[in-house]
Amino acid sequence: MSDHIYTHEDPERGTFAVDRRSLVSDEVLELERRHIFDRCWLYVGHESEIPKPGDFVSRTVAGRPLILCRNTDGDVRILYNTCTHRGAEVCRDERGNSKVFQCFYHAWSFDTHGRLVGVPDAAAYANLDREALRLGEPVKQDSYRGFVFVGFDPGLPTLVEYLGDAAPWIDRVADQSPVGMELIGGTHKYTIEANWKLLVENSLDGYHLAPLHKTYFDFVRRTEGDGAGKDRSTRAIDLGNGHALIIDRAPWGRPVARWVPSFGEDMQEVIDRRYRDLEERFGPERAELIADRDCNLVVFPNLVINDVMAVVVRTIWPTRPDQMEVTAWALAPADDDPAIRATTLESYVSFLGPGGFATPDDMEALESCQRGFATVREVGFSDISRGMAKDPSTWTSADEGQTRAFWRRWQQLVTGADDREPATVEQGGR
Amino acid sequence: MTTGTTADAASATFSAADAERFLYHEAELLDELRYDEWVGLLADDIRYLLPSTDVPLGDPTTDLFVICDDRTRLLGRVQRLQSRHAHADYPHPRTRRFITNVQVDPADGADLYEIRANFQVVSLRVGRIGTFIGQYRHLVRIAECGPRFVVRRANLDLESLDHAGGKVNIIV
Repeated sequence: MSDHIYTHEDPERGTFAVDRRSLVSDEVLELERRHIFDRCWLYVGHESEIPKPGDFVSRTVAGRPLILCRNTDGDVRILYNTCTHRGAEVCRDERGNSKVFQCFYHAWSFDTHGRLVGVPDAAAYANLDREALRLGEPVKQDSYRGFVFVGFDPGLPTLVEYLGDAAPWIDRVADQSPVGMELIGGTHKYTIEANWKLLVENSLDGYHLAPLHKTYFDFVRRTEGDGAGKDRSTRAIDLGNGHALIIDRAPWGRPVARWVPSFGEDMQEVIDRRYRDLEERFGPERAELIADRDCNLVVFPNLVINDVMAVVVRTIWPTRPDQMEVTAWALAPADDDPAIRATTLESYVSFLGPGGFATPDDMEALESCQRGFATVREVGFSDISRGMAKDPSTWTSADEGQTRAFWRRWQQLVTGADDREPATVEQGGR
Repeated sequence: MTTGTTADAASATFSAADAERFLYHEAELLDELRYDEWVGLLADDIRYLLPSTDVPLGDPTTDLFVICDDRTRLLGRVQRLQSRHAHADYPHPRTRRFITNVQVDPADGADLYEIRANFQVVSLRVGRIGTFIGQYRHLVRIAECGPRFVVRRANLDLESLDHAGGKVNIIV
């Protein structure tokens, strides 16, 4: 048994406390790198970013430079972005299209399958084993509904098994369009001076919305009206394996497919047509779920898919115990008409992103928490007990069972325990 | 006196020197948090644009921007910047703006001019310094009361917002 115990729960008293040392310590970050990021499926990119053979994007995932590309057979592949000769990156562009990746150091070249196809003065080698000198490839790579994931642990279950009950919620996003979803150009890249897990918590936290985002909701009320009489009930779900979800029906508009006045009269018909299309494809119940509900999904450990006033795909990477790097993209139906696309983008940045009306306040709160953790030796614990006495089927987004689900899985992996065992599930009620 | 034929043509009504005066005045209003006066510099059809760092020349109708405000949202933003409930903006950052390389060209449309200028905006708050570096690509309309922003666009040279302090809690 390891002594790395940072979560303390007492079902009898209905309390759940997180030791704040897990949020400030280099040692814990090292454990996370080894036991979590090296041992989970991790999001790399979206297939729509590389539609044509030879298309590539370069990404850093769990500290490793990767190339996500579509090879000349049209297959999506992930290659390690390091020359097998001496190590330099063979691809130094963020995105592009190329038949070969040529290292700039000694000009070795590799094709989109990773095959070593060019070595200057190859005759000087007594025995050049081109097969052994292919670009490396991560042992696990797969995609689900266009979302491409990578894994560095050969013992990982299949991606579908790993996603488990989170998969249907990815379906809910992917089903917005019959022709598929595409990632829109333009990337939000920023750092937050706080531990990465605070943004995971924040992404699942319906409790903070009213106090922290008062200025945004005041703005929405002024522009959209108060939507009186609407069912604003919320839910929160522990999806297992550390994945979790909150669902609500927020007062803002959704280009898929909830019209609000600020979208303009012209858009009402377009958006209503979208809703009817969804009803035809899926029936009224699922159409309502796709069109008129807002969902924040966390795929353990660090992928957030917020399907709210637009669809946000966000990754969270720790750089230090007290600093994270956030990358966020917008995802939208590939068959959007131009007016809807423009509306979606405006809708996205009104709330979200480093210049939105809400995300900066989240960033401020997380940074403020982190500054507060300077008292870790005196004030050692954070409380995540809300809703602990309730039956999980009655959790609202303001309860914290979904956050506890993340932390339980985190705790289980960080101790180096057998991660094939599912984390315990909260029973609630006493 | 400006140089170049296009600038000369423009100088009859709106010269680079006029543009400099206008931008310096704007910078002073923003650095001194005089937002009520700053709003007076905006045309009714104002668009305030800050592209994402990987698409500085992007199109706000097809690319994800950091800020894409029409007048309603920009006024909402100004209200936030002045509010004590916009937690990212309170305590208010101090800023200092440096503007150089100001150039003016006539644009398509009556009384419209494009202003290009290099900028560095330094923001200081809660022990951190953030720097925004880039080029303004504004469109102004010369009204009777003076120039008014129709498009106020700041294209960033930054590769990410890390060095700007992560969040954008000022008018860049």
